[in-house]
Formats: sequence, C-alpha cells, structure tokens
Amino acid sequence: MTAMTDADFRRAIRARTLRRNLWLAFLLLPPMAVMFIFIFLPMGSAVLYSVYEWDGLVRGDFVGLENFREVLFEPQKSKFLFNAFKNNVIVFVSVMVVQNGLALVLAMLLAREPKGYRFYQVVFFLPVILSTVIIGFQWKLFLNPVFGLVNNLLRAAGLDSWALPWLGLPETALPSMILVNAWHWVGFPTLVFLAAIHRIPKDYIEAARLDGASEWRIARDIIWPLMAPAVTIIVVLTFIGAFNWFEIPYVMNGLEGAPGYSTDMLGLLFYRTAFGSISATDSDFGAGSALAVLIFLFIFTVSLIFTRLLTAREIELA
Amino acid sequence: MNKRHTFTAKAVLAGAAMMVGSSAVAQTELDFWSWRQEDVAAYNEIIAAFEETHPDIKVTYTAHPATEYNTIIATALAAGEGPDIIHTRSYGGLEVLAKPGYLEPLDEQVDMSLIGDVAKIGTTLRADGHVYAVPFASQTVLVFYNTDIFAAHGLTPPETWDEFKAVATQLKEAGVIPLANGSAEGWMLEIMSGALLPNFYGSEFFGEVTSGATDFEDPRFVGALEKMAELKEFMPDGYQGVDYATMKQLFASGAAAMFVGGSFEIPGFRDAGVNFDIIAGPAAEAGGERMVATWLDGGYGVNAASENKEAALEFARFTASQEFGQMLTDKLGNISPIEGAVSSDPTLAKISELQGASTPYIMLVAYRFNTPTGSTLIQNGLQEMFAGSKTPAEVAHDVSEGIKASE
Repeated sequence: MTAMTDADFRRAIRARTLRRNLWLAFLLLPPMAVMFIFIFLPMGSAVLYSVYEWDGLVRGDFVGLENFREVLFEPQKSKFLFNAFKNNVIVFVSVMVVQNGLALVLAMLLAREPKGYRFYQVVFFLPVILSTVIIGFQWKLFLNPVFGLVNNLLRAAGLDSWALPWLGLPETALPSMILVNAWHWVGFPTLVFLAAIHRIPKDYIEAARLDGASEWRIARDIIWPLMAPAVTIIVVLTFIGAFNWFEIPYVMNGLEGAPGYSTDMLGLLFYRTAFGSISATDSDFGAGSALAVLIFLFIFTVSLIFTRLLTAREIELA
Repeated sequence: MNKRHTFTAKAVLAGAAMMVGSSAVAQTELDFWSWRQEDVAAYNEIIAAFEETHPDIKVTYTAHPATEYNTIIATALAAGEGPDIIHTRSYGGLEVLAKPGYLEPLDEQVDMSLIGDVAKIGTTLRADGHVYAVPFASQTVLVFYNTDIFAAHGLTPPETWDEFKAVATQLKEAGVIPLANGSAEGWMLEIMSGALLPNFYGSEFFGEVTSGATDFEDPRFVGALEKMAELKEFMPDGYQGVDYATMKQLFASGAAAMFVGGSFEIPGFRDAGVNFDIIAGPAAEAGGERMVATWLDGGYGVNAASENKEAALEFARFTASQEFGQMLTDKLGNISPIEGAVSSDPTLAKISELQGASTPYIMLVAYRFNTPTGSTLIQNGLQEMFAGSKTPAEVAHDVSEGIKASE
C-alpha cells in the first residue's frame, strides 16, 4: 500500500462532497416539488387569475388591476370587503382577550400543579382534537332556539327572557361563535403557555419568593416576560387563524354570514365570490382571486410585522 | 371493450347497409350529461321510448354529482369536449354556457310552441334573445298546510290576507305554531317572499320593474314587504334563529300548522308521513289576484360543437313534445312546462292548475346575472327586516340601490 497523495485525497474529498450534495438534493427535491405544486403554483395562478376577466369558468381578456379596483373601490362590492374585514378584526381581538386570556389564567393555575392537574390538562385539551365541523354542528344544535340545550337550560333556570335565538340576532351571532371557538381551542394556547412556564428555571421563582415577592408580582415580572416566545407564537397563530376563520361561521350560519352579514368573514366572502353559492350568486373567479391575493398579502405582511415586534421583546434564557 | 363492441356493431351494420342498399343506416350515438343522479332509471326509460321511434339514434345518459356539475360541464365545454346533449341550468346558470357560444340556439330549429313564455325566459340568453335549451321542469312556491291540524281546529284554508291572519291567530291561541318558517336562512326568506309578495305588488310589477319603468322603492313593493313583516308574530319563538332543518321538522312533526316552501319539499313531507295540502299565497283582498311564483329548474341544450348535431336536435325536439312532458310528470314527479302534460298525482295536478296564474320568482328569474345579485340583496334585506334592524322602506331602498349598482 502506498501513501495517499494530496491529489488523491482532494479527489476523495470532492467525491464525498458530490455524493453528499446528490444525497441532499435527492432528499430535498420531492418535498420541494410538492411545495411547488401545491403551494407556489396555486398562489401563482391566483395572482394570474386575478388580472383577467372571467365569464364563469372561462377566462376572458386581460384586465390588469380592474378586479382589484372593483373589490376595493366599488361601493356595492367594497362594503362587503370592509364589513368582513371589520368582523375579522373583532374576531382577532376577542379571541386574543377571551380565548388566550383564559388560556393564560388556566396555564398559570395548572403550573402550580393543583390536585388532579393532569386530569384538567387533558380535559382542557380534549375539544382541540375534535373536528371543527362536528363542533360547529353540535353547538348549532345546542343553540337552536326551539329545542336547543342552551335555551332549555335557561328556561329551566327561570331565565326565560335570556332564551334568545343566539345565532339569529345580529348582536349575538358573532359573540356566540367566538365563544364556541374559544371552547374548541382554549386547550391549545393553554398547553403552549404551560410548556413555556415549565421551561422557566424553578430557582428564579423560588428566589423571588424568598425575597418576599407576591404571586402577582412573580406572574407579572418573572413568568410573563420569560414566556414571551410562547406569546409570540400564539399571537401570530391567532392572527392567522382569525383572518382565515371559515369553518365555524360557515357551518353555523352559512356562506352569506347570516344574519345580515353580521358573521361575514373574509374567507366566506372569498369563497362565495369565487365559487358562487347555489342559493344566491354565480361564480366570479377574477374578483375571487383578487380577494384571495389581497387577503394573503395582508396576513403575510402583518404576521411578519408581529413576529418582528414580538421577537424583539423576547428575552433569551441562559 | 365497449368501444370495440360498438365498433363491431357499426361495422356489421355498415356491411348490412351496403348489402341491403340504403334502407339501414349506421346508428348515431349521443352522449347526454345531467346532474340528476336520482333520476337515472327514469331517464333510461324515457330514452328507451325515444329510441323506439328513432332506431338510428342511441342515447347514453350520464349523471354527475349535482354540486360539481356546473364545473364539470363548463370545464369540458371549455376544452372543446363535452356531451352532445346537455342538461343545462337556467337563468344566470344558462348564461354561463350560452354566452361563450357553447350551446346551439334552438328557437329556430326546435318547435317549442307547447311551452309557455314564462318558462322560456329561463333558457333565453338576454344578449341575443335566442332560446338555448328546451325548458324541462318548474318549481313553484306554495303554502303547505297540515290538514289534520286544520280539521281538528275546524279551520278552512285561508284565501285572503285577513283570513290568513285570522287562521294564524286562532292556531296561536290554541297553542299551535301557525307558521313553521324562521328567518335564519336568507334563501328560505326569499322563498317565503315568493309566496307572499306577488299578490300585493300585483302582476304588472314584474314587467315594469324589469323594463326600468319603476324600481324596488315602488310603493307596491314597499307595501308588500310591510305585509310580510306582519307575519313575525305567527312564526316560532326565536324565529330569527330557526334554520331550514328546524322549519321542516316543525311542520313535519305537526308542531307547526303551515309552512311556506317550494314544490321540491313534497317528496320529503310525504316520506315524513304528514298529511298536508297546498294553496297559493293569500290574495291581498277578497277577489284579488292569487298568483304563485315559479321558476324554471333547467333545460335540455345541444352542444354547438357536437359532431352529431342533427341527431341531438332530434332529441331536443323530442324533449319539447307532449309525450315527453307527460313522461317527465309521470315518471319523475316534475312539473313539466309543456302544455297538456297533466299529472295523475292530485298534488302535482293541483300545482299545474295553480300555475295557471303564475308570476316569475323575481330575483332568480331577472336579477341573478350580476353582482350583487337580486337574491343576495333581498335575502339580506329580509333578514334585517325580520331581525328588526331595518324597516321595509329601508330594505326596499337597499335592494333598489344594489340592483342599480350591479347593472
């Protein structure tokens, strides 16, 4: 055996690098192809569709930004967009306060490991694994004004005047849905917050306690700042979820955001604009695609801003 | 396999034709697409009757899922394919196919003299005034009433608005929900408006509003809405949250005595075992008009790019015949728009009779072509009216403005 020359050595290295790169390419190509076909291609075609006129499913002439002008500035169309947008904002703010606020309280309580906390942990998380469609239908039945569980209970408790057609009144329909959503999802942020609290080294909290800090002070000045990364994730996910909200309003009150568009969402508006609804409208792919592009751009930009702002206030744990 | 068989059959036929001379002709095969999956057996019988008189034509019926049919047919036609005979939708749904030129204009090639003009509106392209499909079945908005409950309370079906309210008041006092309808679903409110508004706004209104001589703020329309709003007190408690399924349940279970709905509800109520009869919406006053609102469900069109256009037209002519209308009525329980096709079923026969005084189901027939559609506007407006957030005059104003903006 002769010793390996420098040239041999370099060749061997090159061969190995090549093999490694080929291997990497082999592993990366299929998922990239899948992403290209199922994510980038549809996104690209939505952009393409949005600049054409459509006659049902038949593509007509190139119209530039005409579809965007229509959905944004023609009062009879834009009023739907702005109304839906307003409702999405309401959903985002309410979910942040009601659902995530409750989750934070629950997580803080569970973190103190009260008796049977593992049981509660499972119970709070259980609805998360159920299908949204099932939950929508189930709560729609519960809230039925004639034979629904909620009104029957209220009547049994002597609160007849409280037995409202919850989903039928413009003032109560959206709040009802937001509560149903909270019932469904509260377990998820609870679990994320709980995990974050568990990550905080126990000594910090014990040291504070020895120094005589109150529970409130500990929660505010130690736990809250140190769980910032979890809050970032939940805020961004809530934002995306709130602006893509579709299933619950669709299942519970239909495509038109009944009553009187009080539960209309950007997702519903996009769906019925693009694909039509059997009972009221025909499809308009151009306007629908324009809406899809606008919704995507909005969610993408704001999510980015949120992530930037919130990450800046995160404190790295040693 | 099938193809080879037909090919062999064709070859044999062709051979036979050459031998015999010109007496036998090769069979023309026609494809016929529809969304009526529940009607396959009946259509095959109807087609068999056609093939008996047209031995040179063979028709194959294919039914696609109803919810995807519009997309399937539009995609096929856009790709230059598609069947020879097309079961089309009506109004805006027909326009989507007729406007790009996929359908053959039929009015000069098919004798449709047995079909009334109201039905033909549904398959006429507004841009050129040609009829692009033979109208096939109509739906009618009716008032259903539970005959057992009416008998138990000694009531007779109301004929005028005052009688309607008197009957409803009596039922309510007896602890029966007078009207099963709720306002949770806009499209059911539009159906309800189809039964109640026309007898107040009158038979002239449709022509005048569609020609632009008046608009929806017309006192006749506002007045009709005001009357409709009077029904709130006869609807179930919490009617704002009563959805379609609950409405049907209330009527079918006998908890409610009356229900305003489309003729398409009849099979469901029969299956549920409820004893019912039908009437037209009440007249505004004694001796006033009593019209029912109707709309066309669809039609039979011919693919303009078909290679067997003559044979397909022959089939279209068959669908415009009295014989076909009678079969459609007998075998499918549909109300055929063809004159003289009368059903042996008493309820369907009664609907045909009520259609003697009919008015177009206004928003679907005339305002489903542009955004926002008339249906969107009236459904939303009525919902607001029943929720108490808008007055009839405000609703009429919104509808009128919306329609002007869409044109």
